[in-house]
Amino acid sequence: MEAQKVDAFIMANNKFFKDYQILSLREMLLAADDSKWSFMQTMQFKDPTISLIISLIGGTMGIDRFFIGDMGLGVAKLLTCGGFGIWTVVDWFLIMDATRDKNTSKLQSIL
Amino acid sequence: MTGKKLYTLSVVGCLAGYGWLAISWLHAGNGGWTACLFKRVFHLPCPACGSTRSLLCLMQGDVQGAFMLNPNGFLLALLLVLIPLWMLFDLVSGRSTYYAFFRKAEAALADKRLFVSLVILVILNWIWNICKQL
Repeated sequence: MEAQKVDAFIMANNKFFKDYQILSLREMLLAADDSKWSFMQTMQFKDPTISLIISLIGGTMGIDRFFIGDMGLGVAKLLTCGGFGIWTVVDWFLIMDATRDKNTSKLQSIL
Repeated sequence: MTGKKLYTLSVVGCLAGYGWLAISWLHAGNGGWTACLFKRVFHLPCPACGSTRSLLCLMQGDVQGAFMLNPNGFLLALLLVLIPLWMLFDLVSGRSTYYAFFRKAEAALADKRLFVSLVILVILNWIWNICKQL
């Protein structure tokens, strides 16, 4: 893929990925086929800030985990009052990185 | 989620669950204290409120009382018994049937019809919790 396209994609979407993953993602995108560009353009990523807000409001019920697609953990959180309240607080600090990890996996799955 | 992470989380979760149950059992009757952040902030019970009390009722053999407090307690009791045994089976047999089941259950929950039906059940249970003023 052309470097110009890759850089434009990264500039527009860098908040969805972890800082240290961006360089390796750039390399992967450069090595990818041009036919992937249309998929990448239409991909919807989860916003880490939105997941943090959801975690602050509905973390006790696991809504943050459901939002990022972690169904199993969402159910576990829902059934245990957010892990007796402790997991809820821990997730306030972890959920943004978990969202970025999910976004990276999603992008890697189409490459 | 990787298999290793799931098994680690399950061990930690089960230990925390049994620990929590032991603490609640020892302090039963001292009442009033809740770990639920939702209840503390909004002064309303969450869908899982009453689960510990329900489990304690089950441990005393009061099945009807446990159901009336929160049917969620039955599910938690089942998971607390089943998950350690299942992980032990996987450890002994060297297979990963628990992880395979978890992946299948996650994929099934991605189906909108099943997910919406479960959400409706949870909401109904929540409304019941609010009516009971747990």
